[in-house]
Amino acid sequence: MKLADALRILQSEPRDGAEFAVHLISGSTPEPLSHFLAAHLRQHYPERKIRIKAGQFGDLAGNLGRYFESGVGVGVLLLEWADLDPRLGLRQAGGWGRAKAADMEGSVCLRLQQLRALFEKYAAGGLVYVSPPTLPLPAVLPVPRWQASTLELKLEELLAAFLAGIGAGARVRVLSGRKLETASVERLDLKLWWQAGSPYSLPFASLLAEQIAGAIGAPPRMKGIITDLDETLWAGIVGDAGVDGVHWDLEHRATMHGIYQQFLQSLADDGVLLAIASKNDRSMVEQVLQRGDMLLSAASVFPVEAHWQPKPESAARILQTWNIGPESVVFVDDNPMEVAVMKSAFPAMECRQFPTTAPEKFWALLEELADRFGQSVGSDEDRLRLQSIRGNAERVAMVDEHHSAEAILRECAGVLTMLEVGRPPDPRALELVNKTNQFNLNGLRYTEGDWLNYLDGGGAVWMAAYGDKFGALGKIAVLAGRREGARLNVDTWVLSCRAFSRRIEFAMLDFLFREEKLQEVVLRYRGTERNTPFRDFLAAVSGTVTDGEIRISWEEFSSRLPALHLTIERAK
Amino acid sequence: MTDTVHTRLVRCFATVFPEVPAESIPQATPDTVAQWDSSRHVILTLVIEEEFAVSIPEDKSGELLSFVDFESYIVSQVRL
Repeated sequence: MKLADALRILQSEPRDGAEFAVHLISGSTPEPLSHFLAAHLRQHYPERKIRIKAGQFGDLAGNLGRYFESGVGVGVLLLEWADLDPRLGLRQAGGWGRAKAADMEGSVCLRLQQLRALFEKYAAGGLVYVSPPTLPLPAVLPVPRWQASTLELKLEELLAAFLAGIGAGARVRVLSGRKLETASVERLDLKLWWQAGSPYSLPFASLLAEQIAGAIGAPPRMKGIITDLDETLWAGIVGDAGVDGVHWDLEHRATMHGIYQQFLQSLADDGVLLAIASKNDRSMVEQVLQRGDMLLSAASVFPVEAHWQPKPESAARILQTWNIGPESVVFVDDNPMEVAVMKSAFPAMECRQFPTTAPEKFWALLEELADRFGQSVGSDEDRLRLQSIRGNAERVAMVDEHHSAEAILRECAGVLTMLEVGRPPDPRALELVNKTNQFNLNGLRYTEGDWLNYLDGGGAVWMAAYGDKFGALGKIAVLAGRREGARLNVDTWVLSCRAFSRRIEFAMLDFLFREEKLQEVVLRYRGTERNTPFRDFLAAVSGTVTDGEIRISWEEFSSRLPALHLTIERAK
Repeated sequence: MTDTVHTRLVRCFATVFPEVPAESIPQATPDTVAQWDSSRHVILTLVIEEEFAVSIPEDKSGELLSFVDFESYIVSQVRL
């Protein structure tokens, strides 16, 4: 993006958009980076008024402290070596050479300790994205440039320890330099640094801003991968080569498939759903999946669609079992025809060809999948997801076979646990809010900063966890609102689709009316393309389904409340 | 038809000073444009450098204090 383009993007602003404040915490002059950052953020948040707030020149620690004190927006800590000791930059000349090395190391250590202390003091403060130094260390010591000096290595060690320390905090996201490393643009603009205090060249400022905005505006991660088997999960055709004739190791020139398997396993361990859609003999497939040298556990894959029917039919059944939409799923197959057929059947699904003969494309595929399915931290709910889907499938089978839905609900012996979200908030709450489409009050999404501001501004948030004889579903619902006397104004309410058909939504409202002694609940409803389940719930409890505030009194709700067959308890 | 230096420069000024009516831009100076402070001057210089693929030396940039100054400088630097 050119600077002029960024400025033009910023000239038009949504009139009624909510403000989104980003504090650029830096020791340098914020412009022109701040313009690029605002413009890139606008592309992620076209309906928001982006406000970049800058601090005082040369006062990195002070700016960080002031951001924490402000309690508004999100922070971007832009760290450069010159902020840790001006002699490590090129704007001030304070003396270089071996005689100064120990002093520079001590100075950096002291500054990092100062910053670390601020992060510890404000551990429950605002969210901070930390950009590690992007500019090269100058030739502080007289060593050739092909050699890393001992000072450079010691400084890198200090920095790594600092980043690892603060990065463990719940409200810190350390940006990786990997994407910037592949960009071949000049980073420094010495003229601009000397003239105006901003060290970055325009092309690099745009790239850096793009990376920061991409981190702040990262979309919710996708949910599932449907993978093919032959020439994808393994090398070879199991129907031709036999159960022991397919491979995924170096010896058989099939390492790519082993790497793919272990990558899928790591995603499955982190809650990503995996399923198989393969035109194959099912018994042979099951035998291969049980082989002791498989790097992907058969238990991590559900369901397995192995037969000779068209793959879109398999995908439709998988989506139904997972109860998610095709837009949350990636399909991977080595056969371009199958990829095209799947894309045609599910245009919203991301369909990727497994690049069997192109290692560089394989690497790109892994990187893309890591971006789409990665998350900052894993949670217990992630590990429960597949287990609950298997439980659901059993439950549905019971209903189909010989039980009424009402009897199943009774037999489930469900327990709903309501817990009020404290500070710092459980990250699962925001994750649910931002990825739930169907039972969703209004489709409202929050950035991490918005969410923290909402909580800090008096918003009350409850989460619900559920378990029954088929297993635990974990935390599956979030309701957020603001209390006004005996009324609760609900701004956000979501329930994971995995937990449908258990009357959990009724139970949550029942709990709040009774335990919070409410007389009225006001639901700020807005219809979306996907929230039909919420609309159905509204029709059941109020009879009113129009966009706007829908008021439900205790009398009205209790008169329409179905039998719950649930034990509802408050978390201790 | 290729834009003239004048037209392109007007566009640069309009990008940096959206508050200024297009017809007033050719007369723009820090005295006539309230928003023309040192910070905007740097941004203006960067946008003009980017547009014309030139590098304006720091000491020269400080001497360019009107639309006319910039136009004269760019015309002297750019071969169309």
